[in-house]
Amino acid sequence: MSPRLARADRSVTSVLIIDDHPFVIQGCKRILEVAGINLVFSAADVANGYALYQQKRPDLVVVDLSFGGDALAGLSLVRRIRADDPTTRVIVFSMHDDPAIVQHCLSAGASDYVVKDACSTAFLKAVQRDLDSKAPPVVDADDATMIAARQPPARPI
Amino acid sequence: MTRVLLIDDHPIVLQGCRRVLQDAGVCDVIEATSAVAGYRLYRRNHPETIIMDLSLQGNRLGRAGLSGLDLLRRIRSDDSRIPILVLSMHGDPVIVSSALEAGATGYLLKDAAPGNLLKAFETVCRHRLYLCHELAIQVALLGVRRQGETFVGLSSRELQTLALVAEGKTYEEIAEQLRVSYKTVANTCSQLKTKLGARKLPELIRMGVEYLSLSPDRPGHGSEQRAQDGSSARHPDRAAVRSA
Repeated sequence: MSPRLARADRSVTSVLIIDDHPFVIQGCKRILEVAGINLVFSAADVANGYALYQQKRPDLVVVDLSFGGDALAGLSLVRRIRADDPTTRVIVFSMHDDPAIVQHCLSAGASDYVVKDACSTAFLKAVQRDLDSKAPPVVDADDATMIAARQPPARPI
Repeated sequence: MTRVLLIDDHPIVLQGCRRVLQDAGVCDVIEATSAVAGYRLYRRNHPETIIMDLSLQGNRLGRAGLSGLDLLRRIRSDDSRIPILVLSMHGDPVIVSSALEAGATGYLLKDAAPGNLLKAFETVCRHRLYLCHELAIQVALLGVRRQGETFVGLSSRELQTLALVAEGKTYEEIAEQLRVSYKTVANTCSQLKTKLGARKLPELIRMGVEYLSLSPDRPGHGSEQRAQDGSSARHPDRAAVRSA
């Protein structure tokens, strides 16, 4: 059974979160549950995340970039998931706000990029946009600038 | 019911902590995403416990503005008893130690399991210090290292600069003596402060004096002598410090 069919058979939306910070996973779960998405899987590292992705074939994957000492470990996971199934939508959820990194992620096949400083609404909007979208992910160079511009300037206190 | 104030500039982390606490039956949770807002909520709502990050609003450990450490000190100066649990991604024992010195009741790393948050929370609520086992060992070792190994990781140039700072020289004088730019000296001193955990220049000077007293044959001593022949003869007080 192809991954796409596997997902089409299911009526419940599922999301996989891969992040090595348990509080971030808990936060994402809470936001998703409040929005009515209750089938949420999670993994704390890249290897377990990929194994869980293959096992569950979620509708959407939310992945961090930094794992342990590797600042961009999530990037290879994005590539691997997208190589397995180009229709899988992957949101990168990271602390990095460097436009070059954003661009790398989009080039690797991420369908959206949300910085961890973003408010809960921004995260949820990205999730809903990706779940609703029927079109294949679009990688646009302008996205990087746009996403970087979402960052509020650091205000002196 | 315990009222908890959460201060973290990552809304998702706030949501995660809120979820963990609420699942454990702590329902009165208030949140702030900046140090200023956190302090305001603290004054207005009189929480019984505070859980806070150290890096707030882009201020990485207080390089500008009101940092988490500043906020911690301010709250502690207002209230000597309120339990304050620091929830941070920084596992460096120097930072942990700074937080404890600033008045933290507990220190938990953000990659800890949610169960540990509850354990830490319950411990600090009983006004008892909480540190995970590994951090406690590192902080204890830091204290041991401070007895004699504080200066081990410093470069020869840093040690030269530290010695000159301890002798009361200005940045201009150090730059001239070491034949480098003023900016280089300022940068080196900034690095020294970070490496040695000194918050201000007087603290760095004090550590420099300690270095001079510990290391009569210190690295860089010879090169300094070459750069400034007879300097000790011209500055008898410095010679006295060296021989101390």
